[in-house]
Amino acid sequence: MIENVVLAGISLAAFYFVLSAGLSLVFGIMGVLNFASAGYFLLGLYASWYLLGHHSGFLLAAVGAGVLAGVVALIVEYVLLRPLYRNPGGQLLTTLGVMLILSEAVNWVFGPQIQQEPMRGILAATVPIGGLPFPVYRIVLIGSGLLIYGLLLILLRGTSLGLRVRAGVESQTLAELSGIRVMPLRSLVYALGGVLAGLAGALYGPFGGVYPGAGADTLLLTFIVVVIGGLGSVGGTLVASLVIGLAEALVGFYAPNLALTVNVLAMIVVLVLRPQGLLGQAPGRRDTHAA
Amino acid sequence: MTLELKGVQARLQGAPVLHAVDLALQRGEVLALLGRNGAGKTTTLRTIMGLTDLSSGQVTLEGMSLGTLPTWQRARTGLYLVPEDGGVFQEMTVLENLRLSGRGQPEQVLGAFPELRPLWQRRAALLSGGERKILALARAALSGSRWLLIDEPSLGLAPAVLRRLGQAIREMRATCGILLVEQNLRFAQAVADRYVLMQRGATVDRGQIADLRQSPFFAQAMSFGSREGDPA
Repeated sequence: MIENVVLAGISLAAFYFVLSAGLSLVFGIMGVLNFASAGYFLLGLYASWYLLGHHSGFLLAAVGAGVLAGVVALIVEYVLLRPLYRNPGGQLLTTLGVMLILSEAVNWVFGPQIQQEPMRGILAATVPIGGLPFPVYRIVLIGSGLLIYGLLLILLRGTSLGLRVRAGVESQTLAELSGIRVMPLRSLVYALGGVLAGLAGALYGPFGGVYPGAGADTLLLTFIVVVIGGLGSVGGTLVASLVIGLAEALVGFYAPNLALTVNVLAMIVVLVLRPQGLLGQAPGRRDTHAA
Repeated sequence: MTLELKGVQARLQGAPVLHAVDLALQRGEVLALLGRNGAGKTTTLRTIMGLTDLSSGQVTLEGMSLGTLPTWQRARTGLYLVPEDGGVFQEMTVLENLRLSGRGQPEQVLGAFPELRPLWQRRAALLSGGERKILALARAALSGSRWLLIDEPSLGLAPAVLRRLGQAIREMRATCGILLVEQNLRFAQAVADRYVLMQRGATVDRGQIADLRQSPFFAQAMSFGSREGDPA
């Protein structure tokens, strides 16, 4: 029984990781909490639902969701956010506006009702774990989270592009003093954030349902994960996702009404004891070379 | 081959901080930019790098006006600023810091900075203050830049580290022009060839470093905030 609950928690953690990693990186390089991430999540959710309903396989639907959300994010960054480069407050409000517009758009096109995502084949099957049936889809979630973490690690730690992205995340001023052009990196990271949010949307449909409020519903937990993990830290996001996913599953199992409360309390405790998050940079270290 | 500032004026948040900065740095020399706290030395370096906007005057590098070139492009043109707080990426290893600094292979700096070898995989945040300064200079050396702007390298360093730093800067002079902002007079005198004195946002005197104490502006320009410091 308990193995089942723990595995469910890890699968939730995998989902939270995919959803939050992009948000964390975007904050790192732009210094803005990207509310629009909830909008890209919705785009991915509906795109995958639409594709699955039109005889697409799950992998194709997930890739399509990620690509659509990434392209929209790239356009938003180029058209709306770039002119506000020196105005973080304006950027924050713009991302909030984008989230609201995208939520209203899917509401208008697809209606407010909850849609059920069609699951077929092996993804709809279960395997016995701890004497109880465990959905194969949850195992796919765990695999997806691990795969995306591995790919992000290779990108950020193993490539020259990733090194430059990390430089921009740590200190834009020092990165520019090192001859790194930060502006294209911002676009790239923002689009990557969109792709990850879109993928998270595709992963969410089968267990969370497809409805216009899904973006707003997941936004709070995303922020909790990012704050606990440390803004800008992918490793921290992974650890925080595990904390939040497991807490939600275990507390939810014994006291379903307390799950969110426990997560918010965990965030408050981390903010009090370690304001920069579990693996975030200490306050004042970020961009100490800026004017 | 000169880095030249003519009639440079700059403002910070609307307030004038530089109002008449003139200096010329030649390749192969160390020029010490001296003055008390708040004289505008660091702002001068930031203005050269485009981090502070020029409100009037001209900054030219090897005859080319830098105009409104963004910072990253100035860095690629051959200018390199080592900021006062070290100028290293603290979350990255020594090796990654060197990889980010530009053109050469990181191993190339081991000849000049052998003390970095055992620290190769250490995160910069875990280095001592002196090791961080050495790493910052190694990054500057590896960048291939011909013009180095170094801000207060001696700050907070022990005498032995200071001597090593001074030696490294003198060696780098062979291939670069170095503009050194410094308040440690002994260090500046041991390392620099010439000096420029700054006072209240303007350059007021210049000359050979050996003649610094004979400057009529010396007492006033250095009266507060300068440190005699340890010999380099």
